[in-house]
Amino acid sequence: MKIRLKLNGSWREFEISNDDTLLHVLRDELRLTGTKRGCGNGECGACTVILDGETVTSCLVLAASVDGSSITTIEGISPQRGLHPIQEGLVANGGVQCGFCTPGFVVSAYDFLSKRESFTMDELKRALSGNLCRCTGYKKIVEGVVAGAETMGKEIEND
Amino acid sequence: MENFEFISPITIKGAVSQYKKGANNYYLAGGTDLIVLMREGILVPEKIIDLKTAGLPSGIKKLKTEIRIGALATLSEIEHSSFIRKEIPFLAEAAGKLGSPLTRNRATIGGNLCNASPAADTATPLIAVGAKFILSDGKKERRVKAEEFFKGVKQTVLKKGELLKEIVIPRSAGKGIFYKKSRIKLVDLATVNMTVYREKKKYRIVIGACHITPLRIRAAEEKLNKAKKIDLALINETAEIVVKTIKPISDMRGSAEYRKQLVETHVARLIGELAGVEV
Repeated sequence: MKIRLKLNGSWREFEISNDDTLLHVLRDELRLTGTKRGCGNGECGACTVILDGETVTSCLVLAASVDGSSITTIEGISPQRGLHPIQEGLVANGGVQCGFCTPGFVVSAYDFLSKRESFTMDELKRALSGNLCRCTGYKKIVEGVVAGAETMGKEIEND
Repeated sequence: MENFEFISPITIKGAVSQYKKGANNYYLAGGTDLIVLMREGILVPEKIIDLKTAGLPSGIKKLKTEIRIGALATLSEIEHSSFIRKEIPFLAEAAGKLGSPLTRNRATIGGNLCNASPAADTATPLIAVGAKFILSDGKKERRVKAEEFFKGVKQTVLKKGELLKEIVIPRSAGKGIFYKKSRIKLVDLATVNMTVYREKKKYRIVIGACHITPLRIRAAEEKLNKAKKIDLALINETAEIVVKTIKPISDMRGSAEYRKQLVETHVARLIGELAGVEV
């Protein structure tokens, strides 16, 4: 079947198979390989994208079920040149080790930060709780996101 | 995943009639359980019928005497809804403790209920608050009480093709508390979950993940409802009745014995909190 998606700001139309997941279409058809395939069962968050304004694990979304939707992937967040402040914050704070989980974390953090002017650390940690890092660098990831948030002019409240 | 036919019906009637054409068809709501089972080859559907296009009521509505939640409302919507947080905070809390934010943004309350896991996080608060479910077979609707909806592990009263359309919750001044124990703080299935609810000095006690269905413990409720005064001794006796009634299993999330101890401790604590008795 044919579906239309507003992908990182521009409408695209393409042919999919009924059993294609959104993750498969993004990575294997459109070659947007910033979105990673981790567990494939919605548990690790490596495949996080923003679907109609909400973060989801794209491995558990059938492409056929999102015809007409708007999708933002890591490629739509990272600028053409240089890095997004969240990415810069992660790099500067040692929040990237093997890097496999990083795009998912950036998408979750971006969605969280772009919806609010201020946040508590507890809220931030909850927002990132669907993204797993097996290098176990959570503290530095959170510090990196906080650094990015500060660059973006967001305020941190006490818990 | 094996290939299947993907159908986007535009009415409930259309969805039901498609479902009935075949023995191996599945409704798709959020898909966060269904797609995992399909990937693992546990389910090999002939047809996937997408309910999102089928005209089911969506969102959360506040009416004069009841709150209505569309079966396709996501757990995130329920978690963040300002009036659910105000009027049924224990349901918002249960929704907010299911899976990860990524799952909650996609998973629906209807899916959580129809999947009928004994550990379904939204089940105990809905049973405790006296919710009713509106079921539709595309022609007729019927209402069933939340506590009568579950029949066993992965089994409900839904007839072939029938679907859960809407959840109706009476507006009341009652107070409830939800508790969930899982192995890690966030993003895990419940080892046990429970809701204790109190309205006009009447209690409802519902325990999850300790039986083939979420279970209302009426004998324990009676004990509290008949008492002239609720004190620590009575609460402990009530907790004992609860523990004697449940039939937990041992699995990767905890042994039966551990589940019994969790239930005894925390049901007493929740009753104490509602009754104003230190436990």
